Amino acid sequence: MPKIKILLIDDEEDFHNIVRQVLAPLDYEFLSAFDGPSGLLALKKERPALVLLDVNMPFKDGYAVCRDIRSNPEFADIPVLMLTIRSSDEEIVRGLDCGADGYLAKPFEPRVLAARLANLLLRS
Amino acid sequence: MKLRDNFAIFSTAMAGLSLELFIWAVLRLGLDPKLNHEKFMLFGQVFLLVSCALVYLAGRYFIKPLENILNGIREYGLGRFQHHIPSSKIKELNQLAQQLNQMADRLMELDNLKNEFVANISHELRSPLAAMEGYIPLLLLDPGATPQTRENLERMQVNLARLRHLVENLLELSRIESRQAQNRPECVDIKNLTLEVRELFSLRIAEHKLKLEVLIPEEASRAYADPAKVRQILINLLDNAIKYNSPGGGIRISAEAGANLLHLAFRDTGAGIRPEHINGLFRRFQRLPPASPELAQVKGAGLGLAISRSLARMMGGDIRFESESGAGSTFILSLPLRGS
Repeated sequence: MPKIKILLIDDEEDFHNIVRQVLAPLDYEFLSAFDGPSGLLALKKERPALVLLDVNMPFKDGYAVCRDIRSNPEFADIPVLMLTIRSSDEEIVRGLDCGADGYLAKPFEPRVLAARLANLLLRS
Repeated sequence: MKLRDNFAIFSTAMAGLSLELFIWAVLRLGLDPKLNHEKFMLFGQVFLLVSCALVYLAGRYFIKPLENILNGIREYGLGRFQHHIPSSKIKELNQLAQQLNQMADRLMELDNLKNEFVANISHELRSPLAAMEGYIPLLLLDPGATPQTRENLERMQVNLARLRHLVENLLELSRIESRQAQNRPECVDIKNLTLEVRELFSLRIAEHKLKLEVLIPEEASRAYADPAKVRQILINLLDNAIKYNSPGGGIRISAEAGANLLHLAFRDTGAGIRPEHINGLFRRFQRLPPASPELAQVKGAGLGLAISRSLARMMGGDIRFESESGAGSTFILSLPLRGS
């Protein structure tokens, strides 16, 4: 059975490194994109089961990427978990308004990320 | 006495004196012997009134621009640099007003630059900090790590969290000062919010063996404020009341409703604050010399109270301090009872 694919869109290399290590012992395939447009391309090509999305990125921020994902009927039911340093109530609401399924503040506990992933994947 | 009144009295006296001279001259020289006594007096009184009014108006004309300038300087002193001193018809005073306006514009520019700088730096610091904090749990997962390594990593984690807290506070403060933070008031259940915040601290309260009482009567349990901001203030005030308390001490949170404001008092049984330190209490980065050797261990950047007061004032309230030295501190948060 092929592994479940998880795509991280984040401009910070360190978070790719961290998420890869968190996912390593779990049964997921980790995919990387470093900005919004290449993330959308990867989404088309690889069809991940879930997207982890950073908010604060150059060129196109996470809110805009999230709206693009949601406006495309092909990807409409892929769960999106916003993963970001910003965590004020207003920002969380803004993320959810764009169609994200959840919000996780950086830095996160590996166990918390793993549990959120399992939860979202189970429901989709 | 105001300069304007001084000027008016002085001018009136001068006018009276000149009138007297005038009458004396008329009588002495007998310029108009046909004029009868009563008509002459009436003429004198009208003359006096008219000259008084003229002198008073002239006084206002000179003093008004000075008042405008004084008012402007007072506004600038309070940090309201957007105030504009109106121009004046008197050349020198107009120049003075213009120079002051230019100075205020420059100060406003510098103030904005400072806020932008602090906001940018804090913002840029957050990513590397979050990355460092993200790596530590991964290192702690390593089964080969010795207990000493684990302890070192945990200490790093505590220090990074402190640094993050400082950065978040700086960002918050620059948002408040550049007026980017918005006040979104609604009817807030202060009692619920206080109990909620108490839950956040229940572990630390037990650790310090403190006794916490919450006395909020039904009639003083609601305010019209921004719940997220009130929550932040309550967290700051309770955090202080715990940090600066003596082990086994007490904290009492009580509320009473005034005419327009709800007053929420946080009373602790710590060492209190010496009168000479009260002035700087709400200043940024202000940390008081520790009242006891144990308190020297308490960490912080001295931003909590500055932020709390700015937030309270933004919502139309305030925070003030009351203390008897040696008998603990009381911080009183006032919030509007209803919307204006």
